[in-house]
Amino acid sequence: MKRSRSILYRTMMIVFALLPSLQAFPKKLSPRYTTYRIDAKLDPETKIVNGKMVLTWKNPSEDTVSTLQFHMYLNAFKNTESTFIKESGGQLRGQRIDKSDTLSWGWIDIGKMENEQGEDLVPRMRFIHPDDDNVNDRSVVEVTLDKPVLPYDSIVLKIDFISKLPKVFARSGFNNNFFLVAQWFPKPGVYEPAGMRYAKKGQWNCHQYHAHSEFYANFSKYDVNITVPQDYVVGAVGALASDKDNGDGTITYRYIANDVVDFAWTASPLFEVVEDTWKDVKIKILLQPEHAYLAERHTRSVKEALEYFNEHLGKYPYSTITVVDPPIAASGAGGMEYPTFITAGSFWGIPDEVRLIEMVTIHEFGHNYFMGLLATNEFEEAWMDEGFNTWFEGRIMDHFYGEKTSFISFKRFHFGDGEMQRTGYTTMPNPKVAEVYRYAWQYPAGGYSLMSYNKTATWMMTLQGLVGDETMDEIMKTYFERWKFKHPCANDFIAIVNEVVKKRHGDEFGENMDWFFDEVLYGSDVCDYKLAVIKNKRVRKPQGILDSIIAESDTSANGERLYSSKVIVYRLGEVIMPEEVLIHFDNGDEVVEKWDGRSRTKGFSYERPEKILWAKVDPEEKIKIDINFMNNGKTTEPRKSVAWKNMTSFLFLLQNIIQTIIFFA
Amino acid sequence: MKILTSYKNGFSNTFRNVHLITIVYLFVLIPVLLIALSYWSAFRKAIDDFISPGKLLSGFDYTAYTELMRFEGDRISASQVQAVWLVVFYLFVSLFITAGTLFILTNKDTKSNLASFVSGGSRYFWRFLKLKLYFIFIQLLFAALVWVPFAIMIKFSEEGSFNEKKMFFTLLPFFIIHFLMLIYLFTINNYTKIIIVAEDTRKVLGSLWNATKFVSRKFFGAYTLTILLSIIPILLIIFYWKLDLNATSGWTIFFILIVQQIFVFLRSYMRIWFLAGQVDYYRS
Repeated sequence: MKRSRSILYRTMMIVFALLPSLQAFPKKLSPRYTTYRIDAKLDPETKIVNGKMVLTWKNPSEDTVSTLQFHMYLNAFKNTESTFIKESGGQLRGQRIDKSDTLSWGWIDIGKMENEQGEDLVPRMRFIHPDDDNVNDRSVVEVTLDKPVLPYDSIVLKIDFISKLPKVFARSGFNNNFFLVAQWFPKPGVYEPAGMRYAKKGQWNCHQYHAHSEFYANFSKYDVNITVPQDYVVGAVGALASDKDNGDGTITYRYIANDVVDFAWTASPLFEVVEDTWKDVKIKILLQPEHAYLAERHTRSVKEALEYFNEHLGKYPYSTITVVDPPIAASGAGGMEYPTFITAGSFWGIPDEVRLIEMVTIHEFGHNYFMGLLATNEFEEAWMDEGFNTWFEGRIMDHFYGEKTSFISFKRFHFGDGEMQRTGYTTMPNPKVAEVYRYAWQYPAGGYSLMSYNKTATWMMTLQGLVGDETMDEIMKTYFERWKFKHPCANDFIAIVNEVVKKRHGDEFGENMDWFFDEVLYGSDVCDYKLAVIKNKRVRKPQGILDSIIAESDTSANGERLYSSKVIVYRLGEVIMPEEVLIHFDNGDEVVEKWDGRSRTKGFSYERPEKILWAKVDPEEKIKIDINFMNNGKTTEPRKSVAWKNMTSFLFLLQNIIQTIIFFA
Repeated sequence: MKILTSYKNGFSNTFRNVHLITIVYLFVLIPVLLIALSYWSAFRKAIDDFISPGKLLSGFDYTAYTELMRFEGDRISASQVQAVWLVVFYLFVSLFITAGTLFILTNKDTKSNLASFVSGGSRYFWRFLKLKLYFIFIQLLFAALVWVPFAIMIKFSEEGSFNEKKMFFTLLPFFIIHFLMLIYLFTINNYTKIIIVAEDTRKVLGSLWNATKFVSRKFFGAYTLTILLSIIPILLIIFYWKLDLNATSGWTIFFILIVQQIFVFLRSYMRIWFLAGQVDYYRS
């Protein structure tokens, strides 16, 4: 008894002694096939980051891997011959590179790459171009190893590199003394073993940097030392572990980030720092001084996003979130996402009624889930990140700020985020321009954002409308919990949808939901249903020679006049959706008919004392992918006053303009 | 206090000229109404018997409006194009209206009727058009005087030294200076027209020079009177903006139409008052 008590006591002592250490090494959430230890030093004058990296790469497969492929993203900004500059014309989201300024260009160069035996692998490097035939593109390098990496074994490399930051116009770079350092180190691609995503055999997935693509990388552990001049304020992915004054006018900040797919950081002497918390998440906002008064809008947006995502998708597993507000001259760095670190964007004087700050902050935060935790391949399936996130952004904005007012609400002019997403797709010049399911750089011009953001968000809204909010939440929560840290692909998501819908709705939508994705994801046709005709005709007694006629009455049992009424609905588009048709009679009665939406024409007939007053297909506007809601409803008593109201407004506006001209004549 | 006297005389002279106000108002109403009726007809056909445009009755609905313009906008666009051309046409008609107005205001013996208005308008239209062309050139010159130094300052400033807040506060004084100059030019423009009509002269440049001398000699008076005469029109605009009227049914639409036309009528009054005040100041 005495002995067992002693053992128990000693065990408890050991456990309590280890407790702090256990907390310092939180549970591993992801496979962490790569580990980075980086020492980076920024020279603000030359815009160069000198880097020393120790990279551990673990072979995730049963294959023996004899090459490594690295993204060298910054080489996309090296000259006009890169794939990125060729495809983009040197611009992104309206920001343009200044080709005449040599400081504008950026690049990355590996000076040394040593294996554990001390052998330099640089002579074994060659640039490759897996996506196109551009031999001048330097955004992917392949290293042939002297000793292959055996299955599930690791390789450790010491890499010295220099990154020259471009003048920022596309995510990464500098402007004056503001630095947003992203995609700045040699980053291995993802080795996909057979069976992962679409891989039939083990292969590298390491695409070139395209104008329309973002990124794809392993879940990793980062331990990064960032050395900057003393007066610079730094923010980065992960949590600040320590800082050290080097005594030479520089400070080194050490950041550690676990289970993340990327590491980016920022530095500027002008940042004003605002800190807050939401439950156990530390929020840090780095603002330009002229935007400091907008801090509350940023922190509120982050908290709203945290609250909504935690409730409707899953727990945010990290302890920090940093939001960077770039200066207006560096707005090319804004609106971007990295794990636990996002760039938003604002401008001085922006009215409260224009919720651009909220929209961008919520959107970029959302990427932490889709880009960061699910980490789908943004090159090949951009829509799984951008589209799902855009849909969530609309949900959050509409939830907190109203469906019709969430984005802009200024006097009587207003519109909502969700409706803006939808109309972005429905009002495109050619909604059939491409199917959503394409590699990001293969959309036709103008198609990337509208297809991967807007159309995807619209069909997600449609799916939500079809199956209901509760089922949709279960789909998303199941998808997130099952696939976080695992790089899912389209098939994985579709399988979850099929599983949950079958469980909750049985065969209501058919054997499975593959038909839905065949239409909206893999197809490019449009959905358009039209309430074409409403007819009301009085039932009359038959006339003529009636000897063999079985005459039906022209009145009801109560003696009321009967009407033979009909509603006809057309399917104008090729996409088929199950529909509801609401018929409203002049006595206030309503009938809701369900229709599978297949045939080109569908009629609904009634014989009643009441006439049909109006009818609407998809009365609750659940099928958001219908490109024209206006033709969904018809009435037998159109309201003429709408035209009069518009006319009087038009008249007054024109008179105002003319009187102004007369005044200054 | 000649300024106040001219201000009051302008008001009372205008008040006595109901016919003139009505003529100016009808010039602003009739052609515009014809276009508006064509717009009404097109809009009515566009909304047909669809339900969703009905949402526009209670207020703005982004989806309803966007889809109406997307799918039926072609029907309405013809009227919108007509409206644009009407506005262009009024760049010239406004000179005619101003000429007709000044002809009646400056000649006490002239009857305030349509015949006099048209006679005065046609008599002085070409001289006013010539003046307009001179003024476009003068305004461009003044704009260059203000904005070229600004552009030079920006070009030679350190890169990245301007954020949007600094830019706004740097731009603001230039805007204010330009705005104050525009008031000065506007005042000279009006007095030039008054001189052309009052003296019945064909010498446009000479009148321009005389007006410049007049305004410069009586700078405080002329400039202040211009600002004083602008106050009520500006307040009227703010007042209407604050009213924030919204029609949601047939009767309220009609009511708002009446209110709007009252505003248009009052602004016609303001315009004549403006010129009448300046005529009186010129003559005093």
